[in-house]
Amino acid sequence: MSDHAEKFCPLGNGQAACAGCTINQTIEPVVSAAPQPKQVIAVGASGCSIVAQYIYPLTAWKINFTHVIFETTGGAMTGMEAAYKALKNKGRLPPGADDVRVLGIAGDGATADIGLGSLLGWCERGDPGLYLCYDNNGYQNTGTQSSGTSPKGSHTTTTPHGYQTSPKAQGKDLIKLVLCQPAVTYAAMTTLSTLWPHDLEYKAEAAFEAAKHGPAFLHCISPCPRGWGYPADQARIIGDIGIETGVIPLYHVIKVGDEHIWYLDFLPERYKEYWNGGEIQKDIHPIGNGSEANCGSKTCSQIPQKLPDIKRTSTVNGKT
Amino acid sequence: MNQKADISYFDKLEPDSPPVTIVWHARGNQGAVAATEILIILFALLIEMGFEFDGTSAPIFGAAKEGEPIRIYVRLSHDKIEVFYTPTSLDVIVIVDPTISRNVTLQGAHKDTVFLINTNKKPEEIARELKLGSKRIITIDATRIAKEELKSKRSHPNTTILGAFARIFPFLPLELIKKSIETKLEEKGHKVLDANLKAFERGFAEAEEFDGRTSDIPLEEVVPAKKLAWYDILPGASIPATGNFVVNKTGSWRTERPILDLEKCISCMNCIQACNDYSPDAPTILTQYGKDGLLKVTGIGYDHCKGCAACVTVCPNQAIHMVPETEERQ
Amino acid sequence: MTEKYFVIKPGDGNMMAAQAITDADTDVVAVYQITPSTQVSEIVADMKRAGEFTGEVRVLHGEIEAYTACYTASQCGARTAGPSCSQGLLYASELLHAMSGARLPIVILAANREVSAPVNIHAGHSDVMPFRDSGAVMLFAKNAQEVYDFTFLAFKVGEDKRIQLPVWVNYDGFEVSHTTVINKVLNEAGIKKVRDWLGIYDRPCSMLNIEHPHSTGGLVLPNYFMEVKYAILQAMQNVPKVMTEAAKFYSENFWPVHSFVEGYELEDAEYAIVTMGSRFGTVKEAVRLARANGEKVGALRIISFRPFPVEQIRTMLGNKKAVAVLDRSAVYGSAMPPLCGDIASSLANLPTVPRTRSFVDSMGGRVLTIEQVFKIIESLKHPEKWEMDTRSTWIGVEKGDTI
Repeated sequence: MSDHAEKFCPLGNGQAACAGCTINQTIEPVVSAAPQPKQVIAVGASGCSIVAQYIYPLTAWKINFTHVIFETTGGAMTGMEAAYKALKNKGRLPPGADDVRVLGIAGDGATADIGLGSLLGWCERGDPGLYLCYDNNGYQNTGTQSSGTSPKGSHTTTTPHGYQTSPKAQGKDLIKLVLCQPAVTYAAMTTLSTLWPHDLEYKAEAAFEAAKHGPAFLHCISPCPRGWGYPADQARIIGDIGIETGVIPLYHVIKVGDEHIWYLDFLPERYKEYWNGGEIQKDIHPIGNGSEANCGSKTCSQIPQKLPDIKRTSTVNGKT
Repeated sequence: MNQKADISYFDKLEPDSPPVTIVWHARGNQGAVAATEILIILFALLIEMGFEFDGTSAPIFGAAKEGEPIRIYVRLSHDKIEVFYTPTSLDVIVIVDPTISRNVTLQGAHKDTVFLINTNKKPEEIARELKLGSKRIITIDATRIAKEELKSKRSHPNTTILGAFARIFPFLPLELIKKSIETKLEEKGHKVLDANLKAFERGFAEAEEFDGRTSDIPLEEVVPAKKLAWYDILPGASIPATGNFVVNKTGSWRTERPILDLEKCISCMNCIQACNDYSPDAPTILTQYGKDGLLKVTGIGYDHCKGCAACVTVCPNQAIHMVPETEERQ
Repeated sequence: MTEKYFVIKPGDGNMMAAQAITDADTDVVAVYQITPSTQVSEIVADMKRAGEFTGEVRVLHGEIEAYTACYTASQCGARTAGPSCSQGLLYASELLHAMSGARLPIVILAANREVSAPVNIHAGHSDVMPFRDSGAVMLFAKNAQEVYDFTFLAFKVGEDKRIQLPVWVNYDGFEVSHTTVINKVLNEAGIKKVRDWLGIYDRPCSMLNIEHPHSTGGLVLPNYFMEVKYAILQAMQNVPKVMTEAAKFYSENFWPVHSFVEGYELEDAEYAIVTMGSRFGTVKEAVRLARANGEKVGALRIISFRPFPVEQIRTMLGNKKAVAVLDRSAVYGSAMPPLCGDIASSLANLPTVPRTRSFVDSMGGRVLTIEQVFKIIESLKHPEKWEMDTRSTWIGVEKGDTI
């Protein structure tokens, strides 16, 4: 963080996002993790991010960005990649475009609900690119409606007090759906927290590396103060609690040869009894699919035995 | 333009006249939408009782984000209202949050517009400050009264302001307005309802009025925003990606501001990471390289801070705390 | 023409579309199959495998994905084409309307086919009419040769900086798409010449312009929406000038091509029959035979449906006594279907207005016969016998309307 003040910042502020929103702090580190952030070309599906970042004639972006139709982020990424490849082969790339990276940004609705087909189709096609899903468990921009990642029983305006919700695969296991496509080179679950503050950046870096060869997918849980009903300052604490309890599992999956190898980034206390140093029982944790789990990834050098002692206070409401 | 004869306020709604146009300027979560809904409930009650009235209420959100200014346009009329466009000329302007830019709140004011402003200042004082010139002003310190009566974290000033608002339309029975408040708020329980009714009564009683029509207060006209011609707009409404959104000083959204204690700060930069509105070009956390070559945090950049307090929560040393934002925000 | 730029080649409409895509040095083709347009995708994919097509072909999961890929590819400055029809076009509705707002010169090759329900795979214009107000340029080809020629005009006109709009090249499903005819296609020298003429697609705010990046297509509030759309209107107003230049160059350098309208025996005609697409051949034959019998009748084909050639219509039809307009798509609950409505509104403000009778024919691949056209010509001579219906006359319906 020491050169933070001088780095090129691809996504600026002044945006019309809610106070306490986590979207900008999800997207900006990912773009900045690219080898050449200025050469990232991004598409964004309709959602909170678009509406906050671009209201004519103001834009928060400093790199190329376009809005695409809500449910078609995957197709949009294929189109950009095809154009880049075609113009490269014909020797007609504009100056400065020698390491262009395609980035797709979509919320959970545009990824795992209305856009689920688009996402899986894009994974199947195997085009290089990085897909970033900022998951706030609902269609928040239109006022918190139920989406493919809204957990069973969650209160949304279309499922008031959990009415008519069902358990869904996409919430914790969206990455499993993605990994059904063999072409996927990298997939990771991450979030924003104080305990693993660089998780998103490191995973984004690894994802961009893998994205040179095929589809890479980042699933970031980005809480929404309006939709989730928590005080605006608590977003990172929610990330902490989610990681500690396993509600937000931290893991990443890398394609090695023809196989997808799963890496556990943090082992929650309550799962320790199921850890035998090699495998985790199925059904306890998404990583428990029987394949070998390897701990010791770049994101944490060891499983913390004791959680750091941070006093979580908010003087806004006077409660600790 | 309101063509009614100019008496104290509105003593009735005339038939065969254009509707009275009212706007409420507020931020999200100040209860303005609920207040206007109460007005419509009131008019529905009056119609049920056999009076001839009509009322419409239309909120306009920008990007609809918490803290961003919103406007709600209300039309009240004797005859059936058949126009729905946003009024360009307003008879009553209610300002729930006086920190909203004058360029926004004064739009559409004409020479007879009545202003109702939620402020702790005296009416003449606020009129001078806002360069309102020759208007009737009603002020009410609704924020304070609401806090005193409602005693909760989100003490909405809306019902208090409704009390002051009732002065503008003296022909509307206070008991009926109270009944409308009850209809809107009954699901919140008796305690909340009673507190709001008390706040309403205090709003009516404690409002202060000022007839500025013959005063020497200057009037500064609102400068309409310059618009691009159609041929100046790039194809596809493209914008050069210069991050020009930074001109939008979102610092005006906050209701509380962070104060940094440099003694306790260890420059861990957790706050920078947690701030959704941080950007090196217009930083919300100011930094500087020290003599030792290390980057140090030196203060808060208030231009874009929305007051969400995420920095407070992630600071390992509790070096930041929040204080209420004043009307004189820097 | 001093140099020979063509070879003779048999092929159907789909083959000619694919050939034109390849010859025009298209950069990206995004496809999904639908009868009767599928062969365009198949032939281009095969040409790619053989090395003849040097751009990128992408097969996606549905037309909405395919046209999204066209959309972003075009935003990256790639010359782009997308073939489809019928249900595929409806499925991609969101994109087909977005393209004009984003000012993307994508060429849409539409092998017009009826839309469901009921399911029908044959020719009809019900798939293109829902998009006539989307802000795209729309050309209607009458045969495979025109599919080939119009594709080049489409790229040239669409990519012109004064235009920058999507261009549709419509051709009748099966009747044109699958009927093998004998065509001229460009030879090696011709391909080089046409590519020089088309030039590079120089997109002003290209997504691949790293040195001067842009944000595109976000939220526009009431204060600017109409201005953005007004620019599309002005671009459409520029099309006649640009199209005329393009057609002139093509005709002078390669072989003659029509552009806005094609008239037949209209100069001294008292009556006229107006249509679009390949049925013009039938109408033309009927008019030829009628002329031989002394009837003073002529035929008019609309090529440029958008922008509608209002001035040519006024000139060519304004002095006629009566005009019959044949639509290949129906409206339900309106006096006139799209083509007839546009003809009538073009003539509406003239000092004297010809009598106009609206017909709907050939839906779902049904054939328009010469005998039916003779009946139309006969009816044009007796407007007093027209029942003042509030709707079109449908031709050939069992126990339905009489001409």
